[in-house]
Amino acid sequence: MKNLKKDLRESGELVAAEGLSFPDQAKLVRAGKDAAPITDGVFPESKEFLAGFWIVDVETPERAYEIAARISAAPGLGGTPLNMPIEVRQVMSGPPEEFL
Amino acid sequence: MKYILMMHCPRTGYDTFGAWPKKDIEAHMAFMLAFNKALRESGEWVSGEGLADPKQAKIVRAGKDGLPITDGVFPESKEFLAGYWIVDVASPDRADALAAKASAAPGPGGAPMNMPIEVRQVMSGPPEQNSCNES
Repeated sequence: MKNLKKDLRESGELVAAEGLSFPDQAKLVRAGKDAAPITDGVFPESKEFLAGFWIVDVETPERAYEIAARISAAPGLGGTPLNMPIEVRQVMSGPPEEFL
Repeated sequence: MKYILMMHCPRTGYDTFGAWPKKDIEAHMAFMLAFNKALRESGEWVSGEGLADPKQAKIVRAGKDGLPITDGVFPESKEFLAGYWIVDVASPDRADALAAKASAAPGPGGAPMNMPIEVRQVMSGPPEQNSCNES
């Protein structure tokens, strides 16, 4: 993970990266009628949680998939590639003009 | 302490949003821009992004040769991340208060949407020992 971050920095493709704390501390928050926060523990049906993310600025979608595959293959127990699923989404540079 | 506020939306959310009356969309966007501006002014803003329509989302895994195997969105996914804010706040309660504010963004007819915002603490770096796979 550290090597990947270094490589992406060097190629100029890294925009941001963060790791999230363990999901047992996650909360869902909604505004109540008085706009005060109503907090709720994690929904028990949630099976998967975001562990972290990278934002990369790439020339093509294929390059984003390549980077995702490299992250996916991060070594797990005994050094075996984890092959974890990485969700790839385009980041919008701003709200669409027609919405402003 | 840094928190991420994640705004989730149903798979159909982007289509539904585009079909709102124009003035409601504009009010919603104006709310979001004002919210962002207030976070910048209070010094709590770290970053924030909006994500493109989940119809273009892909799931990628490394194959045996390390090459990407791409897959369309899992059909069972009902909710998608629409956008997020990372804020640097003095207390967890402040993160909850900001999430509640985002939750109350105006929807159709200007009524507060009261959408669920997931609040998670952001780690400043990897834990010294331990990771998701070793716990």
